[in-house]
Amino acid sequence: MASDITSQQVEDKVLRASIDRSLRHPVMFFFTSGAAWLALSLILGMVASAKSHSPGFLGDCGIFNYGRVFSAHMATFIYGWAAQAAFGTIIWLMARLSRQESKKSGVILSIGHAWNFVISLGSIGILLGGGTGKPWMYFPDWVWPLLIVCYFAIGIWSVIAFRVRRGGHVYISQWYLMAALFWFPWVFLSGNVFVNSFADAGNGVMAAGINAWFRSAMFFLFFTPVAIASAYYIAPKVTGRPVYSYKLALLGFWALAIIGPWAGMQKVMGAPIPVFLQYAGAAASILFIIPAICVGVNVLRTTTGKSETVAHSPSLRFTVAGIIGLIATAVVGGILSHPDALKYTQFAFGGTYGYEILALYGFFSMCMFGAIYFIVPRVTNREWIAGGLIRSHFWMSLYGVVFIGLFCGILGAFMHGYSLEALDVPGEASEDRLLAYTVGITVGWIFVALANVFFCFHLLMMWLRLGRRSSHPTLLEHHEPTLPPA
Amino acid sequence: MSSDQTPVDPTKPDLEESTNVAKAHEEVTRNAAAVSREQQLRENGLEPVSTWIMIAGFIVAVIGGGVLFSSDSFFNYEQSVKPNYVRAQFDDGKAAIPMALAADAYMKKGAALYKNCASCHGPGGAGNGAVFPPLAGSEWVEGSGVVPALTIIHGLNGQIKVAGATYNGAMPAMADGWSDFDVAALIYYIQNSFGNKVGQIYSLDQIAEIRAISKEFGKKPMTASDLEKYLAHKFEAADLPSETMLNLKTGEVVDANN
Repeated sequence: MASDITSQQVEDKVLRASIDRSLRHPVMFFFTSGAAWLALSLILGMVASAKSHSPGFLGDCGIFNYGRVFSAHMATFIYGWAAQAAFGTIIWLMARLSRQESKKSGVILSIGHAWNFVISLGSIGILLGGGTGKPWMYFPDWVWPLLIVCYFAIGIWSVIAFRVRRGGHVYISQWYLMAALFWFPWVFLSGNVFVNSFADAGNGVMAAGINAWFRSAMFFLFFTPVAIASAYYIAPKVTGRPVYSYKLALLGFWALAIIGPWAGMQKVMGAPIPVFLQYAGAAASILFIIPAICVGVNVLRTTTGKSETVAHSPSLRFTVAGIIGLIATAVVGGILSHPDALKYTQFAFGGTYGYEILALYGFFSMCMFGAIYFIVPRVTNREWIAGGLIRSHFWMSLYGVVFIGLFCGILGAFMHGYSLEALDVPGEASEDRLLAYTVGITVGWIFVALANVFFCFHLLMMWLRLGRRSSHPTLLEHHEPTLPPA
Repeated sequence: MSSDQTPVDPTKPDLEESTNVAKAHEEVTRNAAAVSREQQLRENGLEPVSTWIMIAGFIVAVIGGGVLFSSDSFFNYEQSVKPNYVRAQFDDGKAAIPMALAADAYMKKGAALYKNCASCHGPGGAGNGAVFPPLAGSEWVEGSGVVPALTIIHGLNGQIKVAGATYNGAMPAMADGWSDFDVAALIYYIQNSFGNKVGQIYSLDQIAEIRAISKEFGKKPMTASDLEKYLAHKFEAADLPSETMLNLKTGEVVDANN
C-alpha cells in the first residue's frame, strides 16, 4: 500500500499536521468554551420559556425575570456559542486552505480569553438588570466596543493568512470566509453605532428598524457565510468527490452578497419609517431562497450517492442536516417576511424566536457541529470517545430544532397571531391557544440542553487529550474496520 | 488544497530524493492518523446550472419582485406608511364596514386626493403667484360642481380670469382612472375648504351626469369659454342628504337598516 504514496502526498500530510498542531489551543478553546456557553444558553432558554407560561417558576427572584433570562439566553447563544464556533472554524479553515501554519496562536488564544471574559461580564450585567433589551444587542452598552476590538484581534490573522496563502488558487470556502471576515465589522459597527449612539439624537423608530436590519445582517452576512464555508469544505473532503458545480457556487455566493444586506426591515412593517425599506427587506428575505437553493443543491448533490458516508461520518451527517436546515430557514424566512403573513406573526409570540432558532441552531449550529466533529480529531490527534454521544447529540438536535423552531415557534406564532386577529373573542383565548406551544418549547430545550451538556463534556475530554488513540475514526454506524484510504 | 497536482511548495526540494517515502508515510499515519486519511479537496465540478434551479429561482424572483413593487415608490424617504389605511372594525363577530356621514367621508377622501393638487394650487388653496390660480374664493370653484369636475377630468388650456387676475397656463387632466366617488369627494373638498362654503353634497347620480357632459368633449382640455356655459348648471338628480352614511373605502351608501 505504501508503495503508491508519493512524496507529494507525504509532504501534504506533514503540512496539514503541522497546521493543525499550530492551532490546537485556540481552536479547542473556542470550540469548548463555545459549547459551554451553548449548554448554559439552552438552560437559560429553558428557564425563560418556563417563565413565559408559568411566571411563578423560580419565585420572584429578579435575576430570573423573563426579560433578563431571555436576553441572557439569546446573548450567550449568539456571542458565547455561535460567534466562538465561527471563530474556531474560520481560523482553522483559513489556515488549512491557505496552507499556512498560524504563528499567532498565542495571541488568538489570549484574545479568546478576553472575549469570554467580556461575554461573562456582559451576561452577568444582563441578569443583574443592566441589559439594553435591544434584540441581538442585549449586553450593557459598554460591551460592544470591547467585542469589536477582540474581533479585530482574532480576525486579522486569518486575513493575513489569506494574503500570504501558498498556491494562487482560492477555494470556494475562502470566498465565504473572507466575505464573513469583512462583513462582520461592517454590520456590527454600523448596527451598534447607529442604534446605541445616534438613536437618541435621531429617530427612535428608525433605531428599531436598524436593529431589525442588524439582526438579519448578522445572520445573513456573518453566520451564514461561515456555515456555508464549512459545508463547502466538509462535503467534498469527506466524500472525496469534487464540488458538484463550480458555476452554481459562484452564483450562490454573489446572490448572497447582493441580496443579504437588504433584508431585515420587514420586521418593522407598518412603522413610520420609509415604506420602501420595509418592502425591500421583505423582498430580500424572500429572495434569500435563491442563494440557499444554490448552496443547498450544490452541497447535497456533492454527497448524492454517498448515503453510507453521510450515515457514518458525524461531520458529514451534521453538515447535510445543516444544509437542509439552510433551505428550511430560507423558505420559512420568506414565508414569514411576506407582508400577508406579517399580519399574523409580526406581533405574535414566538415567530421571530422560532425563525432565529431554526436559523441559528437548525442551520448554523448543525454546520458548526459538523465542522467541530471534523476538526477536533485532527487538532488533538485523538479520535472521538463515544459514537453513542455523537449519535444522541445529532438526533436530539434534529428533533429538538424541528420541534422547537418549526412546530412550537413558527406554527405557534401563526396560531397566536390568528387568535390575536380574531377581535370578537376575548384576548385570553389567544393565550390559551399559545400555552401548549410555549410548554413545548420548555420541554424541547430540556432535551437539547442535555445533549449539549454531554457535547461540552465530550469536547473537554478531547481537549484534555483523553480521546481514543487510533487510526480509525469514530463512525456512527457499526462497521468492519478498513484501512484508511491512501 | 486545490485540485491541481502541482507541488505544495515548489521552492522545497523534492522529498523523493532524500526521504524514504514509505517510512515517512508510516510515521505520519502513526502520529497524525486523522490527517493522513484525509482526501484531497476538489471543486472542479463542471455540472451546468440545471433548468430546475433556474425555474425555482425565477419563481422566487417573481414572488420577491411582486413584494418589492407593492411598495409603490422607491427611494422615497417621505412616504412612511401607506396612507388611508383603515382597519376593519369588528362588531358582534362580523367585520363592520368603516363608515362615516357623507360630508365627513367626502372631506376625508378629498383631503387625501388633494395631495395631487397641492403642488400647484398650494396646500391652502391659495395658488402660486401669477402662475397657478387660487382655489380659495375662486368664482369657478364656487359655482356649480360641474365646472371644477370638468376641469379636473379634462385639464384646462388657455387664458382664464380668476378672482380678478388673469392666468395663462395649462393644467393636465388629473382624474384618469378615478372613480365617481373620488371625483365627488374632491370637488366637495375644494368647494368646502380654504374658506369656500358651497355645502352641496354630490350624489353619484350627479357625477354620472357630469360624466355624460364630459363625454361631449372627448379627450380635449377645457377652455374658460367652455366652462362658462356650465357655471349655472342645475343637476337633474338630487343631492345626497346630509344624514346618509357612506362606506369610507368605496363611497357606497350604507343602508342603516341592514
